[in-house]
This record gives sequence, structure tokens and C-alpha cells, in this order.
Amino acid sequence: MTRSTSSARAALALLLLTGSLAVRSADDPAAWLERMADALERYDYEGTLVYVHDGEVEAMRVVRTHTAAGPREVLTSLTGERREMVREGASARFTLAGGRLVLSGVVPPVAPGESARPGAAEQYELAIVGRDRVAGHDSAVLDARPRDADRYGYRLWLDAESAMLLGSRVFGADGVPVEQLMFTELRLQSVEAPAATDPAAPEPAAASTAIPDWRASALPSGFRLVAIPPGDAGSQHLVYSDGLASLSLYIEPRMAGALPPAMTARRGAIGLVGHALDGYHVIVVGDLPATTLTRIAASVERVPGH
Amino acid sequence: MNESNPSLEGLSALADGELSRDELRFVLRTAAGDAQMRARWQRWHVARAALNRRGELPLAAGFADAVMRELASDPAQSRRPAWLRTAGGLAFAAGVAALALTIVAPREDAPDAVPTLARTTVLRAEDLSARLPTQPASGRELLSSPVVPIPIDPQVESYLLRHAAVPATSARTGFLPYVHVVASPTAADPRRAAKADAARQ
Repeated sequence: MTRSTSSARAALALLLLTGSLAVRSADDPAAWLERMADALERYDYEGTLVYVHDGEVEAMRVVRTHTAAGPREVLTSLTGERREMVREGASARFTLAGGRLVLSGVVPPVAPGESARPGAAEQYELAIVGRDRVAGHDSAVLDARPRDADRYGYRLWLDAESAMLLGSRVFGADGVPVEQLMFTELRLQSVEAPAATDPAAPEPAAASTAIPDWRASALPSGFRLVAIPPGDAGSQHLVYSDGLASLSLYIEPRMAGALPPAMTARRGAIGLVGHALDGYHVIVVGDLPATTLTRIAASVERVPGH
Repeated sequence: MNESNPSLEGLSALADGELSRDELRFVLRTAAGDAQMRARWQRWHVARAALNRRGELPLAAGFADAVMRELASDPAQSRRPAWLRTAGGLAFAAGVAALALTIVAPREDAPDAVPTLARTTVLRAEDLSARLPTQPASGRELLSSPVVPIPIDPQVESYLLRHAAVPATSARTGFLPYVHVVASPTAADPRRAAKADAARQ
């Protein structure tokens, strides 16, 4: 066998091997999810979407571009009262209630938690279940079926080339959609220039060495502490994730005239449950069923020794 | 069982446009001398505006001053984190949707005039929720029952914002967490959602 023949065979074997890997990757639903997360942050895009929740059908427009200050994202309601989110770099401005409430600020750096974001395959059965067409884009359809009744299920439509999210449907345990989101038109543009950094943005926070003073003993399996945002004195904000769903746990000193002792709220798949505990307000926010949020909130306790 | 209340019945008929000209004149003259009746009418009027999803409720001179006084006495103003503050425009007292309105009693020399807005009062969240319909709770009924907008609570909104602002906590990142913030608040009876979830599970 000549050297050139041997080299050609080696090259062919390598080509077949990488091609095989590519095919497996193309059908690997976990890889699709990671590509989706990357596409949502990496691409410039502009589109109109429909959001269905709680018996309401709303339209929104989203525009994401990269500027000298970093990524700029604008999400605007097209129905009902004017509501808008504008993020540029670390700065954020939210206009709600037709302009009667405006909240703004620079999002502070968030210290990482005890764990990186877990893979969704641990808690969900992931599968590519077919192909479809959304907003004129060919798409792969990915199902994420929860392995228990503590969390929602998902069906995601992902652009066949970029894996950009084109649509999503969140299901309760009975299979009834809790919310649906679908682009009706979407233009994508890959960003070639490296993203600029916002000179006004604070440096990323160092890994936290603080041990949370509070914990929730009834977290669904697979939820890990992934972030500890800074809080005011005496308060704590802990963020958990199972890879697809996330929840925030707030523990804040009670003040007279503030939140009612016990409350629940819901907007699509996101829920909020709160109650009073030993002079504190315990608030749980997350895209989980209300019964799960309630159980989590009821299990909050101070870490012994803190 | 509730006792018959002629004042309430008159107001109710006025709200429904069911009064004759003479009856209207009588109700308006009664309201002119009855502060409690006028206060109730004011609250019904605003509740109706909210239920009809009007984008703007009537405002009056001194509105901003009234709200700022409310904020100054609001101990929960400091609950929002330091980086998230109300910016410009108007602000709500945390935990209570307090709106300053002006409502006038009808003038005696214009008995046929429809009541317009004149005097300052303060509306609380419970005034808006007093007549919101409740529905039996089940998953499918939740989706088919009428949806009533809930008052904006800045504290609740700030919890949703802070949750959405934590980056990359799940694969559903980018603008997705903010869809819930920009979406219109609905489901006036939030406990209904909890019961629906229980019915599903």
C-alpha cells in the first residue's frame, strides 16, 4: 500500500467518523437544546410573535442587535397597554401599565451558585419528534417530557439550520397547554464581529463563598443552586434550575404595609407564591405548577447555625 | 341575606343606564348630599373602567403630588433592590395600587348634567377587586372563563423582573424570560390558577 493510498484511506475514515458524529449530533436533542440557548444569545434577529396565555392572545415584537455597548434587546407588546423591555449591555428599562410604571437600572453581576446549569436530560425525556414549518422556517420539533409531575413539559420548534427557537408550548400534567409562543415572522442574522463589552457594566462577580442562610427542603429532584444574585441587607435571593425550568427564592424581612402575608399570582407558565415566616416574607417565583411552588415555599427554613 | 338599600339600588340603576329622567334627577340630588353614596359611585366608576380594560384611568391635577405623598409614607418603597428603581413619570405605592382621582358631585343648577369628575379621593386595590367575578376552578374552565385584568403591583412586577434578569439559568434564555414581564397581567383570581393546577395533577 502506497503512502498516498494510506493517507487517503485515513482521510476517508476521518471524514466518515466526523460525518457520523455530525449525524448523531444532528439528532441529539440535548445538543439541540444547547444550540438553541446559544442561538438566542448569539444571533441578531427581528420578529413578531404571538403569545397565548390565560385565555389571552397577545402579539409582541422582539429585536436583538449588537451595538458598541453590547447586545441590545427590545421586546414590545403590540396589543393592549404599552409594555416594553429594553436591555442594552447591563442596563435595563421596563415600561409597564401603559407607561404608568417604569422600572430601570443596571443589572448587577450575579455570583454563581453551587453548581453550573444542569443538563435537561437528567429530568426530562428529550426527543426529536418530527419536522415542521414555522414563520417560513423549516424546523425540528423537540419534546421535553418531565420525568415527574412536579414540573411542566415542553414542545419546542427549532430552526433547522440555526436551532433558533421558533415556537414553544408549555404543558401541564394533564397535557393542557399552559402557554404557547410562536413567531409569525422572523429574520435571523449571524453576528460575525466579536461582541463589544459595555464599559459601564460591572465586572462579573467572583464565585460566591457565602453559604446561603436559607434553604428549601422540598425542591423537585434535579434542581440545583445556580446563582446567588446580590440582595439587600438581611435579604437573600437564590436561583435554582433543572436545565429547562428555573425558580427564584426570595427571603426578605417583613415590613408593615408591604406584601400580604399569603399570596399567589400567575402569568402563563410563571407563578409566584408567597407567605410569611418568622418575620420574613418568603416568595417563590418560577415556571413550575402552583402546587410545586406552594410546596417549595412551605419547605423554606433557615439553615441550622445561620 | 342582604337588606334592600334604596341608595345602592339607585346607584346600580344609574350605572346600568336604567333610570328615567325624573329618577336620574332624584338619584343625583340624593348623591349630592350623601358622601358615602358619592364615594361608592366613584369606586364603581373606576372599577368599571378597569374591568373594561381602559388603558387610562381619569387623572387630575395634583395626581403626581398625591402619589408622591403616598410613596413617602410607604415603608415598602425600599423593598425593591437598589438597582431597580421607578424612573420618571408616575409611580405606584408598593403593595397598593393607589390612584388619585377627581370626581365632582352634580351641580344643583344643572340637574340634568351627567356626573363628571371633581374631587380627590384615593382608590385602593380592594376597591377594584370587590366586584371581580369568581369562577369555579378547573383546568378547562380556567381557559374558558372571562379574564379580568389584575391591578399592577410594582412589588410583584419587581420579583418577576429580578427573576428574569438572572442570566442563563436555563436553556430558555435570551428574551424568553422577559415575555412574562411584558405580557399583560390577567387572571384576577390567582387562587383559581392554583386550584386548576391541583385539578390537573
